[in-house]
Amino acid sequence: MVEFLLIPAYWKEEVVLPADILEKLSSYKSIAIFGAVQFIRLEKVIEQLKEKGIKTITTHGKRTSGKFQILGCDCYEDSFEEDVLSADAILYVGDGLFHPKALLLAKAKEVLLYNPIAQTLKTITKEDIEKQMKKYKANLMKFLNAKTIGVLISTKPGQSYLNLALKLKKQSDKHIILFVDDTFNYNHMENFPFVDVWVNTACPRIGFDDVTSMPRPLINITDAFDPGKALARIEKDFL
Amino acid sequence: MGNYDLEEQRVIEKINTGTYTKVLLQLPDGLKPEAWELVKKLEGATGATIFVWFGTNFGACDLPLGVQSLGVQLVVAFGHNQYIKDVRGW
Repeated sequence: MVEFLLIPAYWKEEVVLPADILEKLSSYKSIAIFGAVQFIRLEKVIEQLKEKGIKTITTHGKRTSGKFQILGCDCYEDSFEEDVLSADAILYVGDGLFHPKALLLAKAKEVLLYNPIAQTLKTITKEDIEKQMKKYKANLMKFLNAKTIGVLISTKPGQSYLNLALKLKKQSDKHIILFVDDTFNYNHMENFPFVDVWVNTACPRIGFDDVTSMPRPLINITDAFDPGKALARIEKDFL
Repeated sequence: MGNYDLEEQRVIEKINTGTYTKVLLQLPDGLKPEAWELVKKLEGATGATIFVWFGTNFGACDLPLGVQSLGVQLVVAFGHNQYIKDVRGW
């Protein structure tokens, strides 16, 4: 039996907004706040914003255990208990793009990124995910007419959803073949030319972030159950 | 180890108070350059054999399985906290 110990690797310094960045944020009446696990000690930032008269909305993603934290898979409108989209702005504290892009996928129009290491503020918008959403829409259209489907099932404990794969195999009128791996190397898709479209059951971000670099079309499992509804949602919310 | 708190003392105490002789470290890409320093420190302080996971570390959803075949008794995964999985699906 293997034991696991998780070390979050917290940033050692207190996260504080520099005066010029605080000034830029002062034009907003309300701000929803998120952070990467390394930077979720955000009490000082919240205090700074409140002192400026800004209402702060705080919550965390449903798949996380940390206060103010968001994960990449918290990428749906219902990923949060609070209505973060009602805020004038969403502020993410961290040093990468993977987690804040989850907020764009959850329908935020833009996200402000404060990098506490570089002490910079930048903005990402819907346009930053437009290319992948266009590709995903094309993949959904190919799925509608596909006859043979390869379903990818991961052995990673947190990404293994065999139940969904079996449900699709039972319900679908297409030919469904089940494939298993740990980390997917998309080049291996080429070894199975009889598969028209692939369906991902592992991490939802595979379907949104990786599709532009895959050799074959892929959609996410949730959309495979109702591709027409998924198409309408993408056209309405992203394109 | 830069400005990130890798809690080395907590890891050392965990290894020394248990009966762990083989320990695997899993690091996100940003911390992989720290692997050599971490291995030296932990091996020196515990006497355990320390392995480093070569592959991905996408999150706490991505913990390595199958390492017990090498006799690994403890996996220390850096950069993540508890992940809450909904077993019904996404």
